This record gives sequence, C-alpha cells and structure tokens, in this order.
Amino acid sequence: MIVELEGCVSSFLSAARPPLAFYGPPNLLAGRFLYLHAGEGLSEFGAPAPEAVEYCIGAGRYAKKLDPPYTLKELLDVLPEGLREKAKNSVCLRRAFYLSRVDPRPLRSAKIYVDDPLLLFALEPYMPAYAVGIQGGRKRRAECGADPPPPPQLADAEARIIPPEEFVDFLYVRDIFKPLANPVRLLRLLWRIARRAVF
Amino acid sequence: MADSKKSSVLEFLKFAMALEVAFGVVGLFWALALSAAVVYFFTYVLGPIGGAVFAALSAAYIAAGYSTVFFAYRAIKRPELVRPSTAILWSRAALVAAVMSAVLADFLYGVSSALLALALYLYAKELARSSA
Repeated sequence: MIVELEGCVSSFLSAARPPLAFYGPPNLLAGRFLYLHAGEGLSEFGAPAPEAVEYCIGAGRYAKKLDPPYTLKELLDVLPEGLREKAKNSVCLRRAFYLSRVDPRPLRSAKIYVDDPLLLFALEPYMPAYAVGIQGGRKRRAECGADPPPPPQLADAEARIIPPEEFVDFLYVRDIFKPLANPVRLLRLLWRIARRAVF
Repeated sequence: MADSKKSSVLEFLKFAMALEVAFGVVGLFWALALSAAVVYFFTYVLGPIGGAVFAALSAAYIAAGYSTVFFAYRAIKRPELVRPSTAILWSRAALVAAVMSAVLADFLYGVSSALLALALYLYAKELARSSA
C-alpha cells in the first residue's frame, strides 16, 4: 500500500532531490537517508510485482495469477496474443525481473529514497511505502511542527540483487512458518494445494 | 555440464516421486486404518470430543500426505507442469508431511517425503539457474 504524502514533507523532500518514494515513518524524516539504486542488469527469472508488470506492459492482472517466483516464459504463457509480443521485446520487463530479486533484509531498518519505480515496486511488499510525486491509493497530510526538520543527508547505497539460486532459498525460508500464524493464509494455501491435487 | 546436472536432478526427482507414490499409498492406508482404530478408542475412553480432535488431526495429516502423493504422481506423468513456484510450494508441503510422518513413526513414508522435498528444492534451484 503506497501512501502519498503531501504538505510539509513533500516540500522539504523536493528541496533535497525530487524522489519517487521513501520508506520510514514521517516523524523520523530528519537525519540520514540512503539513496538506493541498483546496478545494471536484465533477467528472465524473479517475482515482479503485478504493479511492475502493469507499469511496463499494462498486464498486471495476468501477473496476479502467477505465484512467485516465475520466469518470463511462464508470464508469456498466461498473456493474451496481443500483449505477448510486447512482453517478449520489453527491456523494462526484463529489468523488472532483475530488480524483483533485490535483497530487502539489510534495508528493513533504514530510511530510503528510491527514484526508480521498478525498485519501488520490488521493495514495497516488504515495507510500507510513502510516496511523493506519484499517484498513490491514500493520501496523508504531514504537518510541520514549530521546528521543521532539517534537510536530510543522502548517502548513496547500492541495492544487492540476489542471484537466482539464492533467491529460491530466500523464498523457501522466508515465510515457512508465516502461513501457520495466519489462519486466512493457511486456508488459502490449503485451498491452492487442494485445487492443484485434482488432476 | 549444466545439462548433465539438470538431468541428474531430474532423475533424482523422478526417483523421489516414485518412492513417494509407493510408500505414500501404503503408509497412508496404514494411517487410515490406524487413525480409524484410535479415533474409535479415543471416543470410547475420552468421549466424542477426544475422538473428534484426533479425527481432525489425522484427517489433516492424511489430506496433506495424499495431496503430495497425487502431486508426485501427476508430476511423473507431466514433468513440464513443475514450475519454480509449484516446486517450492510442494517441497514445503512434503516437508510438513515428512515431519508429521516422523512424529507418527511412519518412517518409510517420512523418508520418502523428505527425499521428495529435497528433490523438489534442488529442482527449483536448477530451474532458476537455467532460466536466469
């Protein structure tokens, strides 16, 4: 869920650099930020969020049918004829596959600027996102106190992209106990297993 | 080199799936009979609630076990259906089934489920490597 921020926060952020999004509660805005970017790379394996697929080729609702991780070939199989050609040639989509394997673990406690939409979509499931300058679902107005926060210091940071095999490990152990803690998720998992067991 | 490794992982997967189907069908019939007997006994000794609790637990175990067996059977028939995401999902399900079988002292089926979990996990990694 991306929350668009306006008011005091957006004015002071745009003074530093026009960001697409940042993570972290707005009352902790002052201080040190990481300006996160990822190295060059394209891939055909990963788990791009439906939003990222929507952004690249406008086929988010087809990507919703796939469970992570998936390959470009699997995505091509569920796409209708018209979109398939577009997806096959899309560099943006290959970039989305690459960036979807970003390692979120070191970033959980950091405050981060992202100005790459694909990186934003890849990180968004792991943390609540506050966005400035793009259309969000909800809006939230942040008021300045008597002392407006000082402009943040931006430190450059390079996002680590997990190699495909390690990404399988990451997905395997990430939420192995999570379904047990959440009954709705457990029921959904059982339903999926039951549906696939019928052949 | 990569191809031979992939084919060896695939052979291992087929072997584990065949074991899973063989021991799974036998072990789960045994579990059905045993759980029916124990549910009868618990209902007699502890009343209907005790029997119902045990019946629910054994139903969950048998459902999980049979679903992994059915998956293995279907995957032997059509290996192209095993995608990275399904391999991860079923590997975890097989792991749960293996732990439950070990708890219930059904070791043959437990070992075959653990082997299936391992084979599916290796296969998911292999698929990831080949499609990177």
